Amino acid sequence: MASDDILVRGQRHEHPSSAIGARAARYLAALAIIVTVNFLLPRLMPGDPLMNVVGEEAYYAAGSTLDELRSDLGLDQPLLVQYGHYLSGLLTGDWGYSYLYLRPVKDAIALHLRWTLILVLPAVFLAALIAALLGSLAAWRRGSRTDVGLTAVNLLAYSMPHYWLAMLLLFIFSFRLDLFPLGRATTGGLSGVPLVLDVIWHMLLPLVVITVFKAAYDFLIVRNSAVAILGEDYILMAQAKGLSGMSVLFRHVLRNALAPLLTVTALQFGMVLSGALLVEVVFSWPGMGTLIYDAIGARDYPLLQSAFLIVALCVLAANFIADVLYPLLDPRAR
Amino acid sequence: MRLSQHVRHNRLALAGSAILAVFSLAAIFATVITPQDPQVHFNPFLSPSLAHLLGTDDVGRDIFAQLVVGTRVSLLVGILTGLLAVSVGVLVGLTAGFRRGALDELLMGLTDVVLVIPALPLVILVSVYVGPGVWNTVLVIGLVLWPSTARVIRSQVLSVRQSGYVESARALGATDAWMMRRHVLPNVLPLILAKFVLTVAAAMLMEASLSFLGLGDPTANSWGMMLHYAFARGGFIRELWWWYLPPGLCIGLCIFALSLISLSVESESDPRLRRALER
Amino acid sequence: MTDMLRVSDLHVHFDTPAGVVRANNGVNLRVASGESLGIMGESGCGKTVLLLSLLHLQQPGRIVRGRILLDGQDLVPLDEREMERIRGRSIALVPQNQATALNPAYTVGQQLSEALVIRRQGGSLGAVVVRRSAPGDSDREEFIRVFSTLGFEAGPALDRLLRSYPHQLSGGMRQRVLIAMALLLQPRLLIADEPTTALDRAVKAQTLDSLQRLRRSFTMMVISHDIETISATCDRVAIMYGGRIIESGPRAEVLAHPHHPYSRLLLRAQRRERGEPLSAINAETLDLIHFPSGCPFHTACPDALPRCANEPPGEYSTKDTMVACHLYHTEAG
Repeated sequence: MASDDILVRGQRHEHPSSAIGARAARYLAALAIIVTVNFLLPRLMPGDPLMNVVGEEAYYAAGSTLDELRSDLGLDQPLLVQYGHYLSGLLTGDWGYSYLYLRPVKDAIALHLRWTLILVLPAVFLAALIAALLGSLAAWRRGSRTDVGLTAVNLLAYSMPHYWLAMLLLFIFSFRLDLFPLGRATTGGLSGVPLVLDVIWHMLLPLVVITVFKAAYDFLIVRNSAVAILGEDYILMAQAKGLSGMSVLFRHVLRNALAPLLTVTALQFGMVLSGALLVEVVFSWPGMGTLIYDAIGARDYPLLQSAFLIVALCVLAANFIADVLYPLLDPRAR
Repeated sequence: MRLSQHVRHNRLALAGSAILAVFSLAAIFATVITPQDPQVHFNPFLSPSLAHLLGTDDVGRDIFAQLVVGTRVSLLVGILTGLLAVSVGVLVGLTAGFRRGALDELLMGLTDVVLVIPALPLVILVSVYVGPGVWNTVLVIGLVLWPSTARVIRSQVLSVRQSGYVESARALGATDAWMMRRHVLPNVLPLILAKFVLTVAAAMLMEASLSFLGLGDPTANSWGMMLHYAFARGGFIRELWWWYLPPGLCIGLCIFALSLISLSVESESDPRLRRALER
Repeated sequence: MTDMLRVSDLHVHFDTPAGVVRANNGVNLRVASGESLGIMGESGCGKTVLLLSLLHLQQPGRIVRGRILLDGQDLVPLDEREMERIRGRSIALVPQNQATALNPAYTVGQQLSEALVIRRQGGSLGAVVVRRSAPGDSDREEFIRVFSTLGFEAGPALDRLLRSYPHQLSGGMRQRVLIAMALLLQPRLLIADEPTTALDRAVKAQTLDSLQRLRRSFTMMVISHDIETISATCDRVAIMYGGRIIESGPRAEVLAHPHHPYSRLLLRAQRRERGEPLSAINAETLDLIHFPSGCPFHTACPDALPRCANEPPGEYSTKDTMVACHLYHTEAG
């Protein structure tokens, strides 16, 4: 399997070790802990729990009705009772009210989540594709200038803060060269096909940044995988049969590097999503990143909590999907 | 020590160490080498000149001075967090690997759960509540970075335990502590070093991200905070690239240097050579 | 009989941190058309490197000197593209590690079909990638033909085999698949690397049976340290030591009356008579980096002459046997 922990951000990934059932249990446990943490944080952190729960604006807006608000939200009740209310609230869709956006938290999040997914999902696939091709090539030409060059470039790209990369690209291609818009997802007032095209035009730069960022990481993983694969006997056998170098690379090396790549992609989905958030801020892209940035500024705690919950849920879902897909790529796991 | 051997023989590590050395020296001698005092207010939004190598920010502070002094904060947070996270990780990993049984299951369960929770969002959330401050940041980031080390250390302990000479040592009556010192530690030390390097890098990146979002310590002006101000206080819109490009570049170079060092610890041998010689 | 394969003075070196490993040091051998040559020797004597060098797959080793003539054409100076045409279709390999020589991600049928595509259209990217991955009908006919040669008849068992993944098969079955794959390529020369190692007796018997059948229609080279395998499958045998062929001749002759002191020790160690103590070769593994001067075997040789320490022996031949040993210097013509 690919060597873990060779890289900086890749710190936190491991390979799957147990059956689907055990993993599902683990995800549920993680979910339970996340929800509980979400519940406990505002009530245990410094400051008035009421402010931590409703956010600063709401707190100061409430004025004299603070105590009423407190009992309304049940904050004077025992912790366990509050927990019960909290859980039932989550399940019924009552995630609180955002004073920043002046609408229920759930609606604000749904709106922003969509834009984030539009940006992140294509980036993930594109990055995996690019990394698979370049990584296999670099491994095949191990030690050559191609390999060293590619590895150095990728390592460098991966080291730079991606939101900084975003600022650089935006500066060059938008501010100076005027090739792309300065931000946002769309210029407004369009619908149908022109809308789609407009969104794509706005999407290009942030997509490039996120793709480059993820591809740089994936490249190093794939290259490592591929180098290990190249030492396998079945590669020698494939060559001995008379397959050309390129054929061996695509039919045998790439194919066997896919499974570890999938694992890494899933495990690093959290990293990619987190990265995307910061890039969105630079491009004023109306996704979860901008939501979180604005919420931090306004200390809108309900919004922040739910944003965290949703991001965590997405990551868990990605992990689970990858677990399900893995046996498709590695017949030995069936 | 073996690490110095690697460094000497390995140009990667050499390059990385050189870069880090430059930054470390800058951090240590920051107040001496900086041409201007970063706290003094000159005219705002000045372009680069001889007096102000990188111009001034929105309140007139010299950017180059901030960059130099910011080295301290950025590196310090990274190193402190690295120490914290790796210490906790090693403790957990060693305990789980040695004790096994229920304690192992519990610790690994905890580790896995923390691993699966997205790091930055959690750190953001907790930071928002606890407020700014260097020590707060170190604690919060350390909170999410220890599991990776724990897992790796535990694996290593397990593989050492299963190796032949440890079993024979046990058969001869060696105690856990003795085995830990004689067998486990020498094998685990290089790994700890490698993880430390990686953790410092991850911590620096995370601190920068936090600061960029405005959650950093405004009194400790790290490179991440500089990026935040540049973006939020009009530096980006006004195209003052000399304000936001250098801090990001510095962060990137440090991370690059750390990555080079950690990569060099893993020497890569040609798998075909190994195979050919084994036949 | 013309020689299909003639190897002259082959030297193959490996660069390692510890020094230059001289894996092959002047190998000379010949395989006549239709003949089956066996190569015997201990691990580390250079047998596998020799095989791989025939296919230019000896990397990271380097062919430093020598010629490899296949039907008169020297393979050594050929480039990668030209070698791709030689591999498989001219020289086919049945590898040693049946457990790891098949790609775990593809079914047996897919991998065998790949061999067919290579035979028909070559191994270039275009031909191989465009092909759909499931075997077609004409492929099935070929499979049936080849497997029946190996004693495995058509039927549901064969169908199941084709749909299986390598990890689902037993070692013996994988071995058969590898032999079948080589046969599908219809090579001029078939090379088997330790075909019976790590197989139990029953499966070994089956495999030897398959190989014997192939003897009639193929020119073969069989590498093995097992006497039974060599006896069953080879017309001639060559014994390798220290990267050189130190003795060769008709199989029956060499096995019954080995000349070289090393051959004698090797064969005695290989044979196990009931009730007799196991004999061993009283020598440490040869250091291929720091070669001893003179004859590489002289330090462990029970019959060493004084000149053995200084002069490497030449190859002394009579009729169809060859020995590289000073003891036979006077006997040769």
